[in-house]
Amino acid sequence: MVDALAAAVITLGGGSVLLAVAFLMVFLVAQCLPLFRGGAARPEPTVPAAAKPLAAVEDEYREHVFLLGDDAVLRAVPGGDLQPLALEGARPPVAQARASAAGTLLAVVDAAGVLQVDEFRTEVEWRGERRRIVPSLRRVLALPLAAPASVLAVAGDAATPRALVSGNSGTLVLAGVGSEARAIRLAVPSPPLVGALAADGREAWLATAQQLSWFSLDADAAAASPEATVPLRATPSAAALVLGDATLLLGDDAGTVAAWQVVTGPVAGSHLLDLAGVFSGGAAVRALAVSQRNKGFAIERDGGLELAYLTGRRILATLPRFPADARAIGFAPRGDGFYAVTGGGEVHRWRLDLPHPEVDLATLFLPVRYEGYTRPSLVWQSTGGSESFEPKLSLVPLLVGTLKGAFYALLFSGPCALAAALYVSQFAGARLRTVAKPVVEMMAAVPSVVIGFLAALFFAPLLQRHVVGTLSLLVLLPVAITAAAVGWEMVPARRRRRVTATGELALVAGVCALAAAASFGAERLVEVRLFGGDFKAWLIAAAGVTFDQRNAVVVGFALGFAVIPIIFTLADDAFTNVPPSLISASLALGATRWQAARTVAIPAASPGLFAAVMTGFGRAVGETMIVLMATGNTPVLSFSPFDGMRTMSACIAVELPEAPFGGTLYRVLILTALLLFLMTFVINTAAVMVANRLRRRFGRLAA
Amino acid sequence: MSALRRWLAVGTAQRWLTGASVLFALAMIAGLVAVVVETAGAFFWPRPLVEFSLADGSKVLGEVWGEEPDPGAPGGRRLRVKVGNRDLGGADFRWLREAEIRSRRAPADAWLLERREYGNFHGFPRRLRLGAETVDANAPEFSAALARALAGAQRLAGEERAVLRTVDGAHREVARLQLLVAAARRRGGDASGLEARLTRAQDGERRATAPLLGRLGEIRAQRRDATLTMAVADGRERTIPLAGIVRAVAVNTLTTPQKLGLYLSRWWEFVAGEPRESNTEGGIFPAIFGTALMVLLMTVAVVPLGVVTALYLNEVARGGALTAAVRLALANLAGVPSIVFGAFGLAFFVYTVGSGIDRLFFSDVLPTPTFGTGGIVWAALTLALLTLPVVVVATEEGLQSVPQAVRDGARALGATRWQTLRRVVLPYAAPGILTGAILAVARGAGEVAPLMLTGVVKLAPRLPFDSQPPFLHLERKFMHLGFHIYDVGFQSPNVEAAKPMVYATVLVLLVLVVALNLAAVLLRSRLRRRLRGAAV
Repeated sequence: MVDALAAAVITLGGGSVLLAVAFLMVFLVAQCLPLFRGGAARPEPTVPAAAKPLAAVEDEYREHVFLLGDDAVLRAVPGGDLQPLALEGARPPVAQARASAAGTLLAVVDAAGVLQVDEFRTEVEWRGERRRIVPSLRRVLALPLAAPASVLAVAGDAATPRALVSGNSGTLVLAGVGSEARAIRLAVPSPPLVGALAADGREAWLATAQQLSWFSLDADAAAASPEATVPLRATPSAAALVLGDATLLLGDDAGTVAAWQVVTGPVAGSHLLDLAGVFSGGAAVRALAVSQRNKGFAIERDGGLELAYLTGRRILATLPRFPADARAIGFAPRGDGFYAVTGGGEVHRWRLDLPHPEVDLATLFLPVRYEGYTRPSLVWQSTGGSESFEPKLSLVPLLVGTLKGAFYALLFSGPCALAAALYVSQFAGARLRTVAKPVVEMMAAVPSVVIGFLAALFFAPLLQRHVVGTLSLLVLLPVAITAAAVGWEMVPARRRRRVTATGELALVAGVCALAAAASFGAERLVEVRLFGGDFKAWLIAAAGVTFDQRNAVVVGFALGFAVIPIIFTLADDAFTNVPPSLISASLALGATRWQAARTVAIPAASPGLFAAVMTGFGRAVGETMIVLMATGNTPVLSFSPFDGMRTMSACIAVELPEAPFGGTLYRVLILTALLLFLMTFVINTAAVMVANRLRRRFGRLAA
Repeated sequence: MSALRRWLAVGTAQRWLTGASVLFALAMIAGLVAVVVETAGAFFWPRPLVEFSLADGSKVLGEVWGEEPDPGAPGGRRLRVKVGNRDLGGADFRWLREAEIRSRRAPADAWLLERREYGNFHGFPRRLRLGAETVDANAPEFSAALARALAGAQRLAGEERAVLRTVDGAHREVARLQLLVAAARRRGGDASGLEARLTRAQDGERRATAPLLGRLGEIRAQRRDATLTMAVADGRERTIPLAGIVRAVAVNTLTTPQKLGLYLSRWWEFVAGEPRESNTEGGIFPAIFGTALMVLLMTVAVVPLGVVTALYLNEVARGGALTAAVRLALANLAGVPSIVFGAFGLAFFVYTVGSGIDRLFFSDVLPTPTFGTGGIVWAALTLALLTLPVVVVATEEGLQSVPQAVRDGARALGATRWQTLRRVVLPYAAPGILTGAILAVARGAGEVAPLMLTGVVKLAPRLPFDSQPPFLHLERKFMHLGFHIYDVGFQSPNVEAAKPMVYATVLVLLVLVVALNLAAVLLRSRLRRRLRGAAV
């Protein structure tokens, strides 16, 4: 009875390990799957309204959509207990109305030909648990227009409202408060069809039927001519600036939405308009709306409405049951909803669920052209200073950094550890063996944070000062040892035999010390003679390579410190497992120690050696603290050994604690952890499999 | 050609090259230990205060911390001098060119003050003021009076802490009731009973703390009135309250035994004291304590699971698909990078389990998380997952050392399988289990990356274990030696000044980890000897 119970409990405990590992993997997968789930838009009930709407805005809590009718009255839909608000001093019927992208300014041209800009605000009142939205309108600018004109765009805030108007008296940017405004006249060959204005008032875009022009505005100038133009193939029908005002979206009759960006031209100070992306579709574009939360936008076509995202140049979703005769469309201020108002005054609303629009497989692994870049690039830059920052989440720089660090670590530690294991198991005296093995095992116990600390604050400055000496030592050491060995063979064999293995090693130590003394002693001389006195300057001049203090060489060395004991221990085990009879046999047949090692021990141990190197590689790939401390942590894509880097593990350690739970960055970092898990899984499994195959091949030898 | 072949066959050069690799590896570890021991060991040793007279007529009083070739002047050398007095000069360290030094001397009346704020102060004492009484620095009784006054100031500081603790204790009940009242109001229920209790508790608090607060005022006035006026090298005077002074020494007059005493007392302060100046001065006791408690919790979690798993693999199921799968799972646990465990710990323990606990049991204080943020228990559980393979492997080795004859003997005497396991096999395998636990502790103590995600902090206001019920606060964040190294060495505002102290932390961590590993190695070698004996 007790027996059965104990057996059950123990089986349960053993099985729980299996469950835990499976759960770990499944849980991580579940955490990052939402990244790749597409967006969804669910329609909400339609609300009818009375007046003919010209413009519409929505409040932050999505309680009401506010419609501006041609009777110059703003009405809430659904109304609830909110009274309609009249535009102060506007004479109905209103000819035209336009809301700014942020929904905080309303510009109207009334029946008397007066351009009026009003600030629209909502405040939240709490009545116990109930929330009440209180809207308010305030006139900030009223300006009689000399000739009939239409408003192409309104931008800015209540303190500095700006409107882009076009009419018989030309195309003007009007900026001011009260009844005073400064006008900047924009030179265009023909009346523009659409236009856009940056929120800071420094840039304006105008599109005529043939040409798109970009203006850089100087507040003191009275006129401006385009700094850059580009011919257009189709007639433009809608224009809007993506949040951040760095990209202009231009929709046309042919059904294409083009994303234009300004880049510096070949001549200093000149600018060019560059086509940064195209969203093509079937039907003509009727209107565009931009999100105030991210780089998302909406394209209204004759046949419906698409939600698109700039970063990945992709369509996220289409709105179901989109009305055919929408007059005004827009995103909810928080980007969690969308509304459309028909000419008949019906308000349609949708709830948007677009959790991670900026990420898909292409943006994670392929070059993406970000705002401010002239070419598609692989960049990791997860946080920025402003709200309109475009997150750049390419995993490639992190992957390259990880592999680069592991590569340099292995380049240094692999040969060193394998050679050391070979020496200790094949050539060394018993005394050295009993000392070396536990010491190297202790080396494995040194916490990686200690290695990283010393690498960054002790070794890196040292290397920076003595980089020439270190490099020359790397060359000099093997040469010196070989030369000394040749010299040693000149010594009569009788006298050589009297020296034990340990004594021989002491000789080697002496040679090494001499070589080190020579290369560091002559360091200054070498630097002056060969590199003109300053190696780092020479490196930049001759090879265009910069020298970071915390670079891949430092990381390789420090990671090597962590990896050497792993490779050494496993390789030593592999050598020890070669049956001594094999070695004795080859020695008896007249082989030298070296020949026995090369032709018998190494082939027989090779599966174990391979597994050792792979295991070391796996450790180097996943090591965190060393790379975190000893790299500059700069996520640059560079293969230069003198550059810094950022690895996947360091990136997780630095950024995950700050990433909000459930956000895009959080999920991308969990995905990075999962990739790291899979990488080490593959490396470890590959090590075991290849070792098994090699073992079968060399099994005859070992048997 | 054949000469070269013959030379290659003899292979002296190859042998020597591989030998050099061994030497290199040994030199690396020896170099690491040497650098750490040397820097950390020298850090607390008192250095003489040297007064430099410079070419421009100014004077500098400081400790010489290093000397190197001057990059600005070829052939010249420069000194790295710790000048202290951060509140006056801004920086702790200054470079002095040898060429601009006119003369140097070690004045006997130069004093080194270790302060609670702004680091060390170097200067010459002028007078000591205690209330109305003033003692001039030239007076023969000055040293004794200063020592007495400092001891008095420290006693007062202790009393102040005790009073504050009592005041805090008196407020605890009020704070608890305030939370309950707020929660009751939010729910819209009747809070009048609670409110009445709160008023009573507040009255009680006022009555209890009034005399204490009066005493606190007295203490503070007394401490304000006790000051030491010092002159800096350039003649300016500065008055420092005694309460801000940890230690005052006339370093240049110390004899060697006195220096040794100071050295040891500084080490003791480092190991047992509280940190100051955002961890760059003072002690690392909270970090040592946090590390110890965290690995203890981890051991409690990992050893039973590890032992049960090893028992399953070795005693219950021999062979079979499930065993192979468990072994594969363990091999993978051992190979997975520690940061992946950290990410899992954050996503699962903190954000999933912790937030769930908060919603169930701590909903009155939400959205402030209790368990839904990093804490010592989550860090311990994450590390338990990480160190599981270590315990399993060591325990298995222990179980394999139990001779089959012993098991058979027990069964032959009529013991059931469970009795055999409990009375014979497990005691026999105990050294193996212990080895596993020690190795797990060593690994856990040195691991930092997963902790950064699951609950380690730069500076924890309270220890996770204290006199407040329930005594062990599993949800609290904690400090850790390894993280301390990373944080002070890389994130601290004053890395240059803090660096030598980080070496001391490194030494403490290294000694801890190496001692644990040595213990494991010794235990294991005993076990292996027995294994060999059993095989015969």
